[in-house]
Amino acid sequence: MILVDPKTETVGMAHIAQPDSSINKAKATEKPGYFADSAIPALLTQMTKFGCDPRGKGMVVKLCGGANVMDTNDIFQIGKRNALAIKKILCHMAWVLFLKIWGKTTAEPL
Amino acid sequence: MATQISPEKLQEIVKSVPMLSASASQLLQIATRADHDLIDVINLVRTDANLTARVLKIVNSAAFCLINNITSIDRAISYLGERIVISIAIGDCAGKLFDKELSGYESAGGDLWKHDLRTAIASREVVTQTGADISPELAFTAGLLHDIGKALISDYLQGSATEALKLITTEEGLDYLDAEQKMVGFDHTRAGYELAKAWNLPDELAEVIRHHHEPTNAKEEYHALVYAVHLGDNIAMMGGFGTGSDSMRYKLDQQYTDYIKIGPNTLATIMLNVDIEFEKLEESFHGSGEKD
Repeated sequence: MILVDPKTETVGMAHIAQPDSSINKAKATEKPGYFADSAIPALLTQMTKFGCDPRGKGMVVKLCGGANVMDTNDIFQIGKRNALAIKKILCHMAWVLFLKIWGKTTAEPL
Repeated sequence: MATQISPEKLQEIVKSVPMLSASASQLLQIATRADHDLIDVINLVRTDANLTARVLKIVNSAAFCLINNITSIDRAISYLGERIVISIAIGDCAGKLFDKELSGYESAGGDLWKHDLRTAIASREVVTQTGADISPELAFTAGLLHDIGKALISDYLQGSATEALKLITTEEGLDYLDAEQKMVGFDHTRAGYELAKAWNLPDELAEVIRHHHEPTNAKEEYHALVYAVHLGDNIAMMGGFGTGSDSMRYKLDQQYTDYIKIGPNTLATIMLNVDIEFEKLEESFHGSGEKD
């Protein structure tokens, strides 16, 4: 997930691996970028140091990645779950999203 | 462009690969014996001075954060566990193969080793977290060896990645194995299997190498193990550690549910544990090796 603040020309990026930090809170404290629910507030906090709005006003969000294994059942669709978690959190924060939905089965370099 | 490999050429390639050391070979035999004990591993390592030295060096590396150095091989092996000792032995004699740049997959040197190590850890985690009736240590070793065939055919796949991906995306139902077969005449599981035979690997390890993408075709008595590695392989790729152009380009065999019970939360825990364990092992194998 990449956050871009055009006003202050600040860019922040988190490499989110999993949707939900409830499986290991200690890990979320140590590496907040790992889980969607801890990454977003942590990234915003860091970006406020560069003069960005703490609620992300005026920012643009870009999501890359989210590839899935070629699986017909849902268990292994972690990319899809990560994307959904990010979108849910941002919606809760009243962000209006204009996202290109992805979810291919490919792994591509950023 | 990719080059077709004749069966004779494949045998030639296999013959050009260094043999496993006697210790590595015997360790693999021990690992597949259901009734074996750690003492069997210790007794074997003791007979190999180089391996003993390497095991001691790794256990005392910074990655394991020991307060006092371990100087006895018995304690070192008890501390590290059978799987790490086997990884060291294999890495010592086949390290070049694992570190090879997989140019045919557009993958850098060392990527294969990282993918294999993550698959090994993930396969073991799949077994321990789901309570599957398989030896976790054996699942680790099998995971470590599963993709060895890629190092054999990679050179011949050079320049084929774009065409391979085009083939998969345009023809319904094809995956990267089909692309490899089309490009060089057979896939990496077959190449790995030929090497497994040349190395005289135990039957279950050869079956994992041959069928890790299609476990249902493996001998029935090894199904659970092959499925564990099948999932471990996919989990490694999902974590961002594939081997390049083929990453996530394989089918998931749905029959895994007959052998391994896994839900989204278990999967999340496994993926997290893989990340934590990988960081530690990676540092011990490739770190400075010295304590501060």
